[in-house]
Amino acid sequence: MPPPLYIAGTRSTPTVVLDPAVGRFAIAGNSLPENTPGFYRPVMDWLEAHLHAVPAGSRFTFLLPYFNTSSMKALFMLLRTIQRISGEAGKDIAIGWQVEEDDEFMIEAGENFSSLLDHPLQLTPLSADEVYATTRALDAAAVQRTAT
Amino acid sequence: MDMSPTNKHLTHYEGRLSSEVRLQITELIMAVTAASLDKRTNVKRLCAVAIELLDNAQRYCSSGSVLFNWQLVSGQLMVRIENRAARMDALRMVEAVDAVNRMDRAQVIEAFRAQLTNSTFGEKGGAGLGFLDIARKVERPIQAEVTPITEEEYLCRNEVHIPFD
Repeated sequence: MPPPLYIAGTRSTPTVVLDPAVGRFAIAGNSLPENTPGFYRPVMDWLEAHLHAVPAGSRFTFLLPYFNTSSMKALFMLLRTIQRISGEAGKDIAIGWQVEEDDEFMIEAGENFSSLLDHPLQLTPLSADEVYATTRALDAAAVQRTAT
Repeated sequence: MDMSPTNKHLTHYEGRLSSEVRLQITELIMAVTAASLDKRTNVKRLCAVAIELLDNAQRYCSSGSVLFNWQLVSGQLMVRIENRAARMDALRMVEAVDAVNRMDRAQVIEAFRAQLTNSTFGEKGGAGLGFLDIARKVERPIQAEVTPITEEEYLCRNEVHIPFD
């Protein structure tokens, strides 16, 4: 089983949870890092090293209420890498793009990404309460793992 | 000019632009804009412009203070930022803005897509998307001026005016 990657979120960086053992693959939170390539490098490295070993049928979810344009490029590179490696491995890996319902800004961002990828993202509207609960649960998991 | 409290908001900052200051300005203008406007789409669109300008200023500021002005008045946002930058960075900024201002909307969208998908970051971590993204959202010229302070350091000014519903 590939090792997990947990990165606890901050006010300017999202929480990252990539854990095959529990079948959870998610990035959630605002993304406004000062050094965007530096922040996303470990995530990209993990995907390149371990995505081929992720079980078919897994789902990667992205829930980012806000991100700057350098994060947009990094996120696009991650999405493209997930599709490329899962395609090479012949695995059906779903990518969910979760947005707060009526957040046209992020819906448009997801549609833009979809139009540039081989397979469209699965756009899922969530209520504000669901966004909060999802983000809190991921934060808690990442904080617990990074503290131990 | 209508000076009622719900129709005019000014956020002004002059000083060092650390990561923490950039983040706090971002959070402040998001809160101020959300409190002033009904539509979240407008809030994110307007704040995105300021965030890109702040990102650029932090990335390229060579020394001294940054000046940041954010003003919402009667259906229009004016955002202005001034920072010092190395001569080459300043001249490159003006060149980039001029190139974007010369594009029509279709060219801006195409250039944005090409830059988004090319997988390269600049030396200082920029994605090369900031001014293109502003142009996509604003559909008005971005104002850019540079003034030499010394032979190697320039004062850069960017200003954007954005109407909103």
